[in-house]
Amino acid sequence: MSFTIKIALSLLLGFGLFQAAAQSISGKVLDESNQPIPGCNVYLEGTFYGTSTNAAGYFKFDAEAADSATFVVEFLGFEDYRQTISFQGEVEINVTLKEAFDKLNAVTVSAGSYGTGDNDKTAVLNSLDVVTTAGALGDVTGALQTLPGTSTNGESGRLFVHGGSADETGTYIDGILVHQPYTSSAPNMAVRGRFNPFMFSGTAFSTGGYSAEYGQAMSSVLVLNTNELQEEESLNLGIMTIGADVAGTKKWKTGAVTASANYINLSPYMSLIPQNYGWKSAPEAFGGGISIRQKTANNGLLKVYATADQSNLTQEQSLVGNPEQTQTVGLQNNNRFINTNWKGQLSKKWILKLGGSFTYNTDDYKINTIALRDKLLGSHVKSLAIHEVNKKVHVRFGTEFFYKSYEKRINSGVGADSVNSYADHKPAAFAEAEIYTSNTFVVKAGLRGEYSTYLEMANISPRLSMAYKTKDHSQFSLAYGWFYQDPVNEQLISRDYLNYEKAEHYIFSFTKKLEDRNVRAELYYKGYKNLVKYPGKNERYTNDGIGYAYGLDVYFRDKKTIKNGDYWLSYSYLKAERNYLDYPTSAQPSFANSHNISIVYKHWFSALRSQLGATLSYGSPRSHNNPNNIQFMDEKLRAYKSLDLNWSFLHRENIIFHAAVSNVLGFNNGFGYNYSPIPDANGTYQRTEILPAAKHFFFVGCFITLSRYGARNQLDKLN
Amino acid sequence: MKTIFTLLVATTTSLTAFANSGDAYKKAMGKALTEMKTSRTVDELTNTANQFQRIAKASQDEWLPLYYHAQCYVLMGFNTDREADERDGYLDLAQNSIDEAMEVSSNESEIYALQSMLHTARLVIDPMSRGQKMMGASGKAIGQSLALDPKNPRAQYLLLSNEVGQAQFFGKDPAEYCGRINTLNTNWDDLNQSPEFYPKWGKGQISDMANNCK
Repeated sequence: MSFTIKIALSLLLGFGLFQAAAQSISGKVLDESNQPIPGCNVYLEGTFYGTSTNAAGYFKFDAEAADSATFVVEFLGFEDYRQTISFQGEVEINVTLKEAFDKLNAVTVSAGSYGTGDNDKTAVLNSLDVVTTAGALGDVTGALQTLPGTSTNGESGRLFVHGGSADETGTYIDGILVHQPYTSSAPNMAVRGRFNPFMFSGTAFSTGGYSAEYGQAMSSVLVLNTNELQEEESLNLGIMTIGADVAGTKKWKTGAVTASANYINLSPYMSLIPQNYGWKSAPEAFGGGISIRQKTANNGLLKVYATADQSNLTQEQSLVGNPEQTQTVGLQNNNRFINTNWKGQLSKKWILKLGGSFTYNTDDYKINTIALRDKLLGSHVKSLAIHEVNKKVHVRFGTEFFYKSYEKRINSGVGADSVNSYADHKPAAFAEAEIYTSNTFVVKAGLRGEYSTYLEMANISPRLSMAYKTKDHSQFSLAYGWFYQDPVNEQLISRDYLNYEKAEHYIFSFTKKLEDRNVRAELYYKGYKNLVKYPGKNERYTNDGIGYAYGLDVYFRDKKTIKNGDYWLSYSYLKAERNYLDYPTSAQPSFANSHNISIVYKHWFSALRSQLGATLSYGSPRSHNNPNNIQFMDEKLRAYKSLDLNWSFLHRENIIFHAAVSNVLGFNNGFGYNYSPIPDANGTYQRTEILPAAKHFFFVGCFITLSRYGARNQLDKLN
Repeated sequence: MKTIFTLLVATTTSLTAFANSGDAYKKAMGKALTEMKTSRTVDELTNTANQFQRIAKASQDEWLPLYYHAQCYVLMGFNTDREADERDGYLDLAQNSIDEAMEVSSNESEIYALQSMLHTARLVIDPMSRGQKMMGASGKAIGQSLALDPKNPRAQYLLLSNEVGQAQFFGKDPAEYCGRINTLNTNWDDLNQSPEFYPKWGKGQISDMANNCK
C-alpha cells in the first residue's frame, strides 16, 4: 500500500485506519567492536513508542506515528544515537553506538598518587581506614605509614617518602599550605599530625610526580580535603585515658559552625605505665578550634578553620656517657593557625578557588639554664582557576604568594640573646593542561615558576604525566618532573648564599582493579641535586650535595576473600644514597632503610558488634654512623618490628568504646644513638640508645555523640 | 498535492496525539507498572526502567515515571549477585532520576521515602565503611518524607524497618516495635489510598514484619 493511498484512506475512514496502521521498526545495536548491547533504550522521541534491545542487541517495536520521527538509542556509557527516519514500509535500522567520553569513568593519572577518600578514584584507603588502622592511633600520618613508599622512623613520627627526609613532604589543607603540620615533641620522641582525621573527607597522598599546583616539596605532598557542610547538629564527647575532648556543631540553613576544645595530660597514664624516660612534667596540651561553613553565591562554599593550641613538657635526660648526671629539657609550644578558602562555580566551565593560611608557631626549649626559642610566621595566599575548554581538555592555572619568617633566639643564661633570622617572600605561578584523547588515554603537562626574595633566585619546574587504561581495568602511568625546595630554616638562617635544592622524579606505575581487590606496583627513580653541604668547620655551606633514590612499591588490598574481613599488604624496596650535609662520602642516610613491610587486617564481628584491627610492621635495619668507627655509616640498627592491635566496640548507636595496644609482642625497638660530643679518656665516644617512650602504648577511650536524630554515632571515631 | 496531504496529516495527527496524550500516558504507565510487578532480574528491571524513562521523556511534567525509573534501579542496587561497582552505578542512575523527580515535584513524601531506600542500598553494599554515614542519611530522608506526609505508610514502614534493624544489631528485642508494626499492618489499606499510578508497594513487606511479631 503506497503512502499516499494510505493517507487518503485514513482521511476517508476518519483516521481510524491510519492509527491502526502501525509501523514496525526493527534492528540491531552493536558497540564499536561489533558486540551486541543488550538493554538499550530504543524509542521515537517525544512519543511513548519504544522498546529495549534483547541479549542479542536486537529490537523491534511498532509505532503509530507521522511520516517521520526522530529515532533514538540510549545506553549508559555510550553516546546517544539519533536519526530522523521516515516510514516507508517496515523500517530496519542497525546502529553502532560510540563509547561516550566520561571523565568520571575515564583513565586518571595515578602515578605516585594514593587517594584516601570515599569518592576518589585513586583511593586505596577510604577515610574510615585512616582511623581504624591499628598502630595509627587516629593519626593521618600513622595510617599513611602503612602505605608503600614510606619508611618508618619511630623517633620522628613524620612522613619519609621515597628516600626523602621528612622536610621534603609538603602538607596542604584544601590546597593551602600548612607550615606546621605536626605537633612539637621532645627531641627523639615521635610527633603527631596536628589535625583530627575526622575533619577530612578525602586525602591525596602523593609519593612523587605530582601536579604543578604544588611546589616546595621535593618528595611528597599530602593534600587533605576538609568536610563540606555538616548534615546535622551534634555534640561529641570523648573521654580517654590521656584526656578529653568536646565538639559541638550548630547549623543554620546555609551554614554551620563547629567549636571544639581538647585537653590532654599524660601524667596519670605515665604514672601507671613504665616509661623509658624520666619526666619532670608529663606532656600536657590544651587547645580549641572553630570551623565555619557558609554557602555563598555562585554555588560557592566558604570554609574557615582556626585553632589555638598550647603544649608543655619537661623531660629529665641522663647525660650521654654519664647516666648519673641528668639535664632537664623543657618545651613549650604555642601554635595559632587559620585556614580559609572559598570555592565557587563562576559559570558552567569555570571554577574559581581562593584561599589563604596563616601560621604562628613558637617552640620554647629550656635546657638547664639555656633558653632557646624558635619562632615561625608563615602565610600562603592562592588563587586557582579551573577551566573546561571542552569535555576532553581541562586547564588549571593560578598564582600564589608565600611568606615565611623564622627566628632562632638563644640565651645561654648570661648576657644578651643571640638572634638569627630570615624572612622570605615567594611569589609563584603555575599552569597545567589535562588532555584526554579518549576514555583510555590522558596526558597532563604543567609548568611552575617561583621566585624567592631571600634566595634572590627563580626556579622553573616542568611536570609531565600520562596514563593509559586497558580494557581489563589495568592502568599504566608515567610521571616525570622537577621539584624544588628551599633549604631548611636552620640552614637558611646561616645567611650563607644558598640555592634551591632540586629533585627529579621518574615514575612508572601499574594498577589493576579486580572487583574488591586492588593491586599496584610502582617503580621510581629520583635524582637529587643542589643539596646543602657542609664542607667543613668554618667553611660556608654550599649546594654541592647530591643523591639518588630508586625503588619498587607494591600494594595489594583485598576486601573480598575473607567475609567481614579486609586487609592490605604494602612492601617497599628502597635504595638511596646521598652525599650531603657533613657526609664525608656518599652513604645511605639513616632514615632511608631498604625494606619496609606493613600488613594491616581488620575484621568485623557482628555478633560482638566489634571491629578488631591488627597491623604488623617491619622495617629492615637502618644505617647509622658510629663516630668510633673509621668507616662512615657502617653500623646497622636493629630491624624495626611491631604488632599493633585495636578493638572497637559499638555499645549503643551513639556510644563507642575503643582500645588500642602498640607493640603487643614487646619487640625491643631502638631508633639510634646519641653520642657524647667529645671522646672520653679512652678516646671512645660514649653513647646512649634512643628508645621509644615506652615499650607499649595503651589507649582506652569512650566516644559519645548526642544529636537530634539520635542514631548518629561515632563509628568513624574508632581510634 | 502530496504537500497538502502531508500538512493535513501532520496537523491532524499532532492534534490527535495531543488529544490522546493523556490516554497514551495512562496506557503506557499501566503497561509498565504491570510489567514491573513481575520484573525480578536485572535484565527485566532494565527493560521496565527503559519504559519508565520513555514515559518520563514524553511527559516531562510527571514525577511518577521518574520515581519508578529510580525504583527499578534501587531494586537493582540491592541485587547481591552483582559487583559493588555495578550496584553503585545503578544507584547513581536512580539518584539522577530522584533528583529530577524532586525538581518536577519538590514536596512529594514518596520521593523522600525512595531516597531513604536508596541510601540503605548504598549502605548494604559496604556496611563496614558506609554504615554510619548512610544510616544517618537514610534516617534523615525518612524524616523528610514523614514531615511532608506523616501518614505515608511506606515511610512509616521504612522507619520501622530501620529501627528494628538497629535494635537487632544492638542485641535488643525488636518486640517493642510490634505494637507499631501491627497497627501499621492493620491500617495499611486505609493509609494506602492514593491516586492512580501512585506508589502502592509495601503491603507484603509490612505483613511479613507483622508475621515475625507473632
